[in-house]
Amino acid sequence: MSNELDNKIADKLRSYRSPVDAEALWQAVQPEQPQRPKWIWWFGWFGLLLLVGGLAWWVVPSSGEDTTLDTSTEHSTAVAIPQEQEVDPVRNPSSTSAATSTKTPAGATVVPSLTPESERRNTAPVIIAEQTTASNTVYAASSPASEALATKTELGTSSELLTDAPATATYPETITAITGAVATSESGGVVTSSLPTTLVSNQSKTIRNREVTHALPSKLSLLAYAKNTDVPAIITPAELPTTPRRRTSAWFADLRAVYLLPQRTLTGVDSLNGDWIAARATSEQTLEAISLTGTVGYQFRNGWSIRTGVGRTQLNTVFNDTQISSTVDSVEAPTQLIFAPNGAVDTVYGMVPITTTATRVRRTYNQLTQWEIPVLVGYTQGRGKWRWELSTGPRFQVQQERQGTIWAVDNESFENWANTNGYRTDLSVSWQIGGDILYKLRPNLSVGLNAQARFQLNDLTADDADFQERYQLFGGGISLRYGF
Amino acid sequence: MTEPEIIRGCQRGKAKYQRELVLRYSPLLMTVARRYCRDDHAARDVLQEAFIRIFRAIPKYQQTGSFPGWLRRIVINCALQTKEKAAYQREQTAIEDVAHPMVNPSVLDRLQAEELLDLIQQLPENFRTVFNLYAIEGYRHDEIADMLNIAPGTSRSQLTRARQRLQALILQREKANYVKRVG
Repeated sequence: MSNELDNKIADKLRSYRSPVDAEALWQAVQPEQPQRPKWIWWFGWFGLLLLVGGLAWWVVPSSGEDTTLDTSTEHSTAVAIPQEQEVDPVRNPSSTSAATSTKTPAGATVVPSLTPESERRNTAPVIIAEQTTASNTVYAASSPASEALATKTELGTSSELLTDAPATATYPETITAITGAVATSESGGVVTSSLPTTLVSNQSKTIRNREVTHALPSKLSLLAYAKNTDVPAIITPAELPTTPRRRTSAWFADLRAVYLLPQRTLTGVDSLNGDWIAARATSEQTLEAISLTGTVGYQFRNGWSIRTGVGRTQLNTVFNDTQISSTVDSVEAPTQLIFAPNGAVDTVYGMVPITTTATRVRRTYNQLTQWEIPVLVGYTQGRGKWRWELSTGPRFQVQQERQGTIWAVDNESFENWANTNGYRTDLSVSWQIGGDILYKLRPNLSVGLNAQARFQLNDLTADDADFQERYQLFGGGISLRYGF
Repeated sequence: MTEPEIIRGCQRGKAKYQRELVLRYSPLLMTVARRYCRDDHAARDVLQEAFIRIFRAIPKYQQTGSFPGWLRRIVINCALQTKEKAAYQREQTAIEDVAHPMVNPSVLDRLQAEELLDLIQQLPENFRTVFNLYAIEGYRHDEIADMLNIAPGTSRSQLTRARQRLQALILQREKANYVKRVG
């Protein structure tokens, strides 16, 4: 009986599950998980920042630089056209001047443009009209590029408008004045005029503001009057209680900009027969490197310090400058119309070409961008407000070489070489040695000058070539250090 | 999440699997703890201590035998050691107080598990322990004697008295239930 009772009890209770607040029990018994040090999170954030920045830099396309060195404007005087020359509107149906001739109420004959319309590019609007009331002669200039402007010119040359319409002279924006006299000659009832030979560009007025200076007292004193005393007490600022100086912590932030001169070592260039790298190696000039670095560090009491952060260094090298001279603007103008006393066009002097030649230099950069994590150990000593620091350590780098854009063969468009086989991304390490001189502006703020050298410890190597390059950087810059 | 996955996860110290272990097995182990404790409060303490030991011991667990059995054994050990640490006051149960009723086992069919646990918890500490170890866990008297550091004869006598006491409690509960049902 007892065994049977035991079995029944055991059967009932063995599979029975008591109600229990398991979640509360878990909260009570859960073992402590090992906590990761906080610097791991900071390191992760730095890595994320590096990744995002690198991707952003990756996505942004590079471009070359186009510098206009010189722009000259040439103007030639008019060429006289015999009066008997007529315009065949059928041969030049697109000529604006021809269209103008049909609208001239006085029957003026306009010589069409000597330059075909298809060759006119980028013509700026030019209207020149000048009246000489005594001889009833109109000197007009127009740009044939615009039919509307030609119509204006026609109105300007109309004899009916001579008494009412004011003379106008409009040039492109860059031409603000005409120097030289308008030569006028009269022969056989025909008055001819010629344009001045020089157009002066970019005249401007300079307005100088009067300088206003405010003088402030160099020192301020505070006067305080004590009650019940005959002589007022003078309290100088030195006697006032001063705010206790803020004591900086051992943590500091350092921001520095450095200009560096690269020394480049190229090996295996000959293995790239005809390759763009070989071409670059023979024509490229190494120019400069610019580096920005932000670090956070800890200053120990014994003078040693350690700091790390994020840096970005960009090496700019450049191809031989490509100098290009081209005519970027051409205006077939002005046309001179000579009116007879009866209002008819007597003589037309044809096209006065105005050409502007621009000399441009296409500068193609080869950029080597490095995102870096410096880990620098330093030793600082100082006296008074001056301190000097020596530092050294590795800079872990992610390098990306970007071969920029160059002029295409037609000199009008660009070729993007960023996608050639020279487009590389590498991991590398360089070792930095540097020194700083710091001046304490405030208890927690210092500025400084620094000099440094970076020795790259490994080569940049293209995946499919024996070509290798290595940069050593030497330079200096300024720094700003803030103690927390 | 299978049982082997939970075991491996706990052995790697993963909180997710440890939590799953607690959620899944705590009701079963709570029943075990309640059988050995005087009340639910003490049972919760025992269970809490048992899970701490489980997490500590599970990296050494070899997946041989029943995992719930291994867990149950830890709870039992924990309950027994807690009892020793607490130096509980031994209920002095006079032999003359123990009646000798004979309960028909079919009576148990009408009792719920919660009622049965409640009755077991009313047993004196030493009776309850021996009864649980022998009648439910299946240990022999010599094993119980080793575990409790008592003589095997003591284990036998305490088991007999535990049975008698439990039957008396069951009869009392049956009477009370009968009165409730009848009116």
